[in-house]
Amino acid sequence: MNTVHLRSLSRSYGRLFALHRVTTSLHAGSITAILGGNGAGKTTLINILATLDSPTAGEVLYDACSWSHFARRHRARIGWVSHDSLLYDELSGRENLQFYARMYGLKHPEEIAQRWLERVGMNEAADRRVATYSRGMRQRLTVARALIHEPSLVLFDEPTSGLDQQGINEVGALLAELREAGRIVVLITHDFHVLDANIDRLLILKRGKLTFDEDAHSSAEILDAYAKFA
Amino acid sequence: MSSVFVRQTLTLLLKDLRREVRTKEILTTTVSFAVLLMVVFTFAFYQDDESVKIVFPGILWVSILFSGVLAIGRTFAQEKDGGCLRAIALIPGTDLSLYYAKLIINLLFLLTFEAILLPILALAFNVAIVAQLPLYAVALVVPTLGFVAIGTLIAAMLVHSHLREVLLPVLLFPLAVPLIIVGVKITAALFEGADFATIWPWLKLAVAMDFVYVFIAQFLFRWVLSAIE
Repeated sequence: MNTVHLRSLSRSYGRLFALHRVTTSLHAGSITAILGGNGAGKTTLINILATLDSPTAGEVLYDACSWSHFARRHRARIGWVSHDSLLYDELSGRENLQFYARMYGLKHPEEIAQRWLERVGMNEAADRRVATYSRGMRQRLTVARALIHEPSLVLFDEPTSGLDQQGINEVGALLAELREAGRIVVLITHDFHVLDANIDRLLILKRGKLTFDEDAHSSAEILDAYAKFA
Repeated sequence: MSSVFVRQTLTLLLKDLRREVRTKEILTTTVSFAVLLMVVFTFAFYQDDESVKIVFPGILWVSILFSGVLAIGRTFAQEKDGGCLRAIALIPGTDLSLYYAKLIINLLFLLTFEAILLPILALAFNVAIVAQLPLYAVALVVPTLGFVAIGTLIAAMLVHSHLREVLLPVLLFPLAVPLIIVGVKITAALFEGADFATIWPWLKLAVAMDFVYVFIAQFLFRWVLSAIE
């Protein structure tokens, strides 16, 4: 997948617009951050991109593929990290990753799970039940779960929530890897340390409207834009 | 039947079985609840050997009905608790495999529960079931399949409802009543020494209802899943 186009995208709940006429494009090999205050429509936008919520007006095109066609046929190309961990508490970290690898039909699920456990630094706790994990450990495993099938569109909703500084640095390194691998990465975060030097494009939403859509590289630029447009 | 469907169904089944082995949540609650019901019914209805004929099939199926609701009500609980339903919905093909995995796991739980309940109940009411055990097994399995098929669909519909514990029996019982009546009729006939030919008309009806319920439920499940994900 090379591009996701959003054209006059709107999502309303009754008379309330969660998103209003949002138009932008997301490109392969770049990381787009979405910022905005509470209720700005960030999670609604991510959910629509993940095909878990549908637009009420406008369109989303995944290359030339419509939203409804993509939702029916190509959902396996989406990797999604949400507020919830989407992990089974009674299973171990290893069992969770093996479960998702098998569900996606990946070959050698044991080896793939082991590789991801090492990659997110969870090898030592791999055989403990997820219920015993700290918030940060869950978040590391959540990232592994979302990326285990090598998706081409990666959606992160607060990926550094609960992580220590080392974990935040690792997410930063992972973002750089995903960019190098040519993935389309969309990120919601309030952690400006992650944004600094990691993002290529910045979108700012305010009450469902896109108020800022430009390239941004330094944390000073991001802070400045956030202060003006959020 | 595609290999994707089989692989996903088996993976979901093994995950649910592993979880149940660790928590023992469903079998412990259903069996203990059924034993409690049985004790109450025994003291309430058991008078003499003649009364057993009337009350035994009813008590058996009321216990299955009430305890089955407990088990079916927990069907999607673990998916909901961790938010995993959305992660599973993002995997292509799960609109069918998730339904069948949950149907099979519910069927396994209820049949295990029935395998425990039937001998206990027979012992409590001094009913000889050994000679007709295969027929009793058929009499339990066939109506239970339809009950579980429609119960799994309704449990999915109610997964995000705060009133699901109340609404599940309210919606499920009217749909399950024809199957329960058939189950009671077959069990009562077996109790009086009926052979396979005698129970066959009732059994045919139950098999037909099973087909209808499984077909309708699997057809509706994809819409239910897209609405609840």
